[in-house]
Formats: sequence, C-alpha cells, structure tokens
Amino acid sequence: MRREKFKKSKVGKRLLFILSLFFLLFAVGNIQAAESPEFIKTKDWKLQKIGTTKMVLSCKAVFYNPNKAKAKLLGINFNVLLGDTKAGKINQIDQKVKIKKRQAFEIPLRIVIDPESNVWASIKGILSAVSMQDFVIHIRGSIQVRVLGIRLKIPVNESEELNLKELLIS
Amino acid sequence: MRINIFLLTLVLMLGSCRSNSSKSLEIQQFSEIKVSEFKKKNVGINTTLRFYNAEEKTLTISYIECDIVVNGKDVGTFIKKKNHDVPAKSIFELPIQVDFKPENAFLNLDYGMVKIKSDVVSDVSIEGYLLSSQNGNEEKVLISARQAVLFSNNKDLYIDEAGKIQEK
Repeated sequence: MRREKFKKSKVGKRLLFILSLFFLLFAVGNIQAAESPEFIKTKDWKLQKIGTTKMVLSCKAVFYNPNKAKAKLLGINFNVLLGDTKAGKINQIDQKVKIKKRQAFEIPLRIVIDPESNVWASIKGILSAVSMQDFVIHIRGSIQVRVLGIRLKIPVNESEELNLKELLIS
Repeated sequence: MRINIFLLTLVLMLGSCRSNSSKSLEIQQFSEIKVSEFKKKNVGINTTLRFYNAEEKTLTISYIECDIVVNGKDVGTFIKKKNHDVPAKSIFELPIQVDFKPENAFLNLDYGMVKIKSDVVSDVSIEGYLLSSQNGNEEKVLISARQAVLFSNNKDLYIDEAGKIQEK
C-alpha cells in the first residue's frame, strides 16, 4: 500500500525516472565500452588419429580480448572444409576456457573429419593424393562471448596449409 | 638541366628510403625467465623484453605477439596491443607474463597415473615478433629467447651452469 503511494507521489516518480536514466546510461555505456575480441591465428596443429574410417586433428585458435573486463565463452560453431569439401563441424570445446582482461586466450579445437555419407570417400581420395604434399584446411564460423553483459559474435575465417607427413612427425 | 634535377631528386628519394629501412631496434634480449607461481592448478612465468632504440627519433611499438613453449609443448600466447613510445637512444622494457595449466607441460606418466612433476628443469622458449613504426614506416622485428628454467617451490634450489638442480 505504502509502495503504491510512493510510486504515485511526485518524489517517487522523479526517483523512478532518475533510476531508469541511470540504468539506461549504464547499459549504453557498456555497449560502447565492450569491444569485440579479435581472432589472431590458429597454431599447434597436431594429427591425433588417422585410420581407414576417420581422421582427428587438433589445434588451438588464438583470440585477443581487448576489454578491461573478463569475458565468458558461450559457444563455438565452426565448419571445417578440406579443400572444397565440407569435412566436419566443431561446436564443442574440450576444456574450460578462461578469458582474462586484455590478454590472449586459446580455444583448443578437436577436428573430426566426418566419415558420413560420401564425404569420407572423397577425402580419402584427397588424402591419398596429398599425403606427401601440402593441403589446405579451412575453418569457417564464429565464437560467441559475453563481455560486460553484452553478447558478441566473433567471426573466424581461417585457412591453414598443412602437410600430413610433417603432422605425423610432430 | 631538367635531367639533372630529376636525377638529383631520384638520388635523394633513394637515399631517404635507405635510411628508413635500416634496423631501428638494435638490442633485444630477454631477462631471466622466472617462475612466479608453481601450483597444481596454475603455473605463471614472467620475463622482461629489453631493447634499445638506436635511432635519433622516437619510435612507437604498437603490437607484440609471442608463443611460449615449455618442454616442446605450446602453453600459451602473449599479446600486447598498446602503443608504447620509445624515445631516441633509450632502452625500453616490457614485462611479459603468461599463466598456464601445469598438465600442459609437466605430466609424468611413469607410474601409470597422472602426476604433476615438481622440482624440474624445463626448456622454455619464447618466439614471436613486434611491430614498430617510425615516420609511418612499419617494421616487423622477430624476437626469440630460449632458457633452462627451474620449476620448483623450494627456494633453496637453483640450476648450475650444466643445467642440473643444486641446493644452496
């Protein structure tokens, strides 16, 4: 009852207006303050497994958080292409990733080349042809992070030239 | 006469290009790599990158990127994106700090179980580059360091010249 009276009174209305204004300014300030993290590179490529049915590669995607605040990784969504052939998807991360303020952060990626449909057959063809030569793997997609309460999407379009022989040695 | 002026201008232009392409960062070195933290959940290492601006003018360092490798395993990336002005004929120092999970570098599977090694001498290497600019000309300078580092919580231990652990 008292709360209703306070809300209807002049002082209450002014106070509500000022509080709303503060909230709005804070939200706008956060939107302007939150900078989108930046994709830097992929590194530490390794061949985890290779068989007659599938191939598993791993690497780390390096990003930089330019914000003065920590961020939270919400999700990743990448398509993997081997040459021009769609070879797999990555939408899960193996480890918890901490994103510290104004620092680089790494997302470990596990790339399973799908043996689904006819893709594996064409990939096997590509692999037998390129096993001694370089081949290009494309990672296309995005990661989603939350910085200062704002949800941001960081696009990734990376191509890496790999050599199966070198990966086997490493 | 016109040809002479043209030739003079060409010589001056080429001369100015030559002076701009000279190496402006003469000395680069890393101080001793120190272990700031060695715990089960986190390991921290730090060092200082030191170099000398040999030019007569101030240069600006805008970007530094280094990969840190411990025992041949990549443990992290250090990136600094900030403009640092380095006055002419002066030394500039930049602290580098990297944290990583110990299991990324110190796993011991000898006993058939995962165990984090302690009191161990490891090979730590820092490889990367920095971007410096002067008068609008950007220069990429490679940076590299490799040191044997003692990872331990025992302050009485040190590594000798042969790289072996000794007690004070």
